[in-house]
Amino acid sequence: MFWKQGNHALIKKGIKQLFPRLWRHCLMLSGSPDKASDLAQSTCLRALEKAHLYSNNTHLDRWLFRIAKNIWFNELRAESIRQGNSMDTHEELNQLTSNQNPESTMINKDIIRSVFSLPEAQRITVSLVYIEGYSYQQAAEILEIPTGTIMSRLAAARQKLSNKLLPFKEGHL
Amino acid sequence: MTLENFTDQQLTAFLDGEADKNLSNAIELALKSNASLQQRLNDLDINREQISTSFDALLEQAPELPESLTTKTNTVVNIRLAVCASLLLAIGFLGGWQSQSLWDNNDRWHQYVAAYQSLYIPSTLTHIDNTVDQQHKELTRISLITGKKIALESLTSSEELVYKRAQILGFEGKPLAQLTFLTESDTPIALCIIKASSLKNTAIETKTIEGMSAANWQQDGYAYLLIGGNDDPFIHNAAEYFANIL
Repeated sequence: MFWKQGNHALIKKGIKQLFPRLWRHCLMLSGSPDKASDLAQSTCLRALEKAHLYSNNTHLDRWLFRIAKNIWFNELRAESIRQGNSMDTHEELNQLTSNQNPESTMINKDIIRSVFSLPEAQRITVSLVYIEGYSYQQAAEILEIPTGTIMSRLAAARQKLSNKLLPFKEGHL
Repeated sequence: MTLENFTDQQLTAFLDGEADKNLSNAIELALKSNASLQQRLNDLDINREQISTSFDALLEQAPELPESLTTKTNTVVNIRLAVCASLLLAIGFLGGWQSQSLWDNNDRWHQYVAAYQSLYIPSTLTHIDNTVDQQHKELTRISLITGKKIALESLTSSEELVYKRAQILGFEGKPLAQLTFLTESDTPIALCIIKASSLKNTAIETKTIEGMSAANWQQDGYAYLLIGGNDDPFIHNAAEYFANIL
């Protein structure tokens, strides 16, 4: 049989659980909540189109994250740059953190803004390792780059974040 | 290993718990006698837990999963699930598949097409920029498979619809041509063509399927469905245009 009939059901079930994380990953890629929503939906659609490639050994989260990365870099990023990315605006950051309590909102905003101010490659790598919790090897597989590149991106990102987030270092809070 | 040998990448791996045993031992040993190494580690230190916590707050801002991607057990959603299973497969995959009848009328394929179309968003199509040569080849292939000759000029002469691509899909073993367009406001529109079960010609009929405007008609042995967006007059006019030109 060419197509495994149960794959769509498995993928849909997994997508339901993973969608908030997938959207956040898309936000880290695209830098815009609206573009993240479009990208996350496109990713789900593409995963269903490629359901025949899914197997019991596939880690659905990593597979979806890799699909999102490929759609973003191969199909949407150039157009987004032409239109101008907007995550630098204070307004969008404020909207994203507006439902939290004021004290945590201030801390979260500073940290989120610092991470979003990183160069794109560092931001995406920080997201996978420090936010999503993937190992270097897993992050390298998602981004389809060598583990050494993950290490150098994280080292560069740590240098920048360490200064910006000095008040939030261990023992300072 | 001397202090100078430790790169920032190695120290980062150490802080992240990703350094191998030899490297970890070497750094820990060096830390006992070298204060400047401790300073370098401090300079690379970040509060991972606080970063993770801050970004976890963003999960609450994630939008709802689109209805078409949920796994509710109602019939409509199951139909959508079936859409992805059936329409996205290449021709022939379903040749021997005998589906259970979910609808007992001739509009059954309309429902499948509509459910598939409901998954389309502007960015499904905006990036497609095929050359004229590629478009000709695509249509030649589709004409050969469906038996319906489709000239590229008939798809590109509209001022209000930008032709994007053609795909061959399958419905119960029959080839189904899907021609996709974007309106000026980037609304995805699809024109689907399948061999009709009779030679009877029918007039254009407009209706709403899956919340989208749709127009269907039958002509010279082929059934047509134009669908997308919510502008009924636009879809009706576009259907008249295609009925005249195809």
